[in-house]
Amino acid sequence: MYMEQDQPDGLDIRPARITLFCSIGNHFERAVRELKRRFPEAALTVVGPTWRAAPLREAGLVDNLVAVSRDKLSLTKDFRECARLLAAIRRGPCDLLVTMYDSPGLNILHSLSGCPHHAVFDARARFYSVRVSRLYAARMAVGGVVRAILGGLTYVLIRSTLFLWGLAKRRGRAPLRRP
Amino acid sequence: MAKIAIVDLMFSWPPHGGGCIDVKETASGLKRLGYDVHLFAGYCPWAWQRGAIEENLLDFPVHKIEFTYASFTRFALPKRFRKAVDGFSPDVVFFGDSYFLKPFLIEAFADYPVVARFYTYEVFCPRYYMLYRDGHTCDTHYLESPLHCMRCAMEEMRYPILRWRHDVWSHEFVASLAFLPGYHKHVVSSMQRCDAIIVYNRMTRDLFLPYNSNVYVVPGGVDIERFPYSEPSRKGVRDTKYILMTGRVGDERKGVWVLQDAAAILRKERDDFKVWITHDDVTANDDVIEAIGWHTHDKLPQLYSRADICVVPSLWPEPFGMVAVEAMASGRPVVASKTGGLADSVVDGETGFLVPPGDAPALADKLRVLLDDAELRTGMGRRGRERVEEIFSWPRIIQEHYPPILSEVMVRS
Repeated sequence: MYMEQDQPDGLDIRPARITLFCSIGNHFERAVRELKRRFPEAALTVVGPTWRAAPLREAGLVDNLVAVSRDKLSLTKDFRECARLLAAIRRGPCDLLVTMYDSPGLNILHSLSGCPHHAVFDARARFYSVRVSRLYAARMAVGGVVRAILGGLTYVLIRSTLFLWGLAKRRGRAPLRRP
Repeated sequence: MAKIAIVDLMFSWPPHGGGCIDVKETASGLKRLGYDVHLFAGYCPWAWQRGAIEENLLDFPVHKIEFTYASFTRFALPKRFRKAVDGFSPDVVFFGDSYFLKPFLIEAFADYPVVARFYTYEVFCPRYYMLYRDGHTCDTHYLESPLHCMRCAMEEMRYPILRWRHDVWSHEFVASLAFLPGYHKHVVSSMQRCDAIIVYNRMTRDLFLPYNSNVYVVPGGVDIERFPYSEPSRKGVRDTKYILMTGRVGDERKGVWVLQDAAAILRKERDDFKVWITHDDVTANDDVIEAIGWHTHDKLPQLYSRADICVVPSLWPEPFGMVAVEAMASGRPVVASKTGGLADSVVDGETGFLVPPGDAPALADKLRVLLDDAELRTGMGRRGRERVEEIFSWPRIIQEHYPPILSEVMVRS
């Protein structure tokens, strides 16, 4: 269902087009250099904030840049931006999608990207391929929806509690006893 | 000798942070002094950090108490711990690291002598225990302004909760129902119930004092053999001196921009120095600042030995400030922010200098003094090492602080 393999067994491919999805982690530059070292012939596209990728593009390490407006993206808050990025990755197209860590969300991104291979270059400079079945990705997506419902309900509960607490306090009936 | 039960919800070994190291050193040290120490750790296979322990690496018995997602609540968790600890019948229950559930644990052991160790500002700040916001230390805290602090905390915890992707902090927040007004009462009564509260610095002690008078300041320790003393190389006026900032430089609270501003001020008048920061982001590089990449803990002693001055320009009140003590152990003068534990560990004018947090001109002034005077650098470095050997070595900390506190607690109870 889900497996990781260390290099070289996990990455015995020769990609012509690589897309690096830049997200949290300060090992971004290392990831770019490592990809260029391993696959010097491949065209490298970086999806990430301009301030991080532009200097490397100027240094000739990055071929294309898909600019992201924010450092951290939230699927709920930045839905349009996420859809635009996904479309840009799909339009690529790419042979290898590299992410900077492994997570269910990034596995779903890979499933939707149409890219045949997914690899991770993590903060410990480990480079490995990730293979996730579509069923697993679907389960993750359903799990995400369930979590969002649970989270939403909890959030509403907390916010309502704080609202009522504030209201009670304004009316001089704060349910607190100072020590 | 007395039997000590250590209760901890965050322990893992190999460690994931300073709290684990502190608990382990305390348990091992007490065992060496003859106490019968058992660790009771919460184990959640589904949550990173909680209870991932390789027991063969520890020299004291560990009891892992496993929890499911459903049983990790303020109602079930204290009962499970109580049942496990009762089987050991300790003379003192010592509470290690945990966040929002700690008050409920303390209340569950109300009939035992209780010692609680606090590693940061966890009961004072529900917004990730920092007591810091927008570049400044907060002027109020949860025990004084609970509603204000809960609203502030929710700004930060909104996304982990909304997405139901909890880190350990937001997870305990929800599991303990800390957002209810009644939580405040549990926190205050648990603080009052403790027979002894142990904290890292005087600032935290002063925060606790209105709620409990038995508050003890016990600093954290450093493995002084791992950080050997080396005299800074004798450098002339024109030789390049290296100013080092270690730790999580990318963290906004660590105040790297203060050092950048101070370096820019100094650069206008001299070019005999360079600043190293342990950061991977090369975009921070200029003709003065050099990002030398993240250094793991085992490479730090070598890095300190190559530096001439160390800087800790933190904006938030670091509870302890481990990097300052490590630099002092290595024989380097430290220029640090006068806040939190840093104000306790660095002696102004003796082992380094203290400057107001966020004050770049003041930092530049102190760096100028040190850059100009090789004798001062060497002298302060030597006195720093002596201070670490006297105060911050683990065996000393355990031997000097813990037996008197434990005896007093047992006598009082």
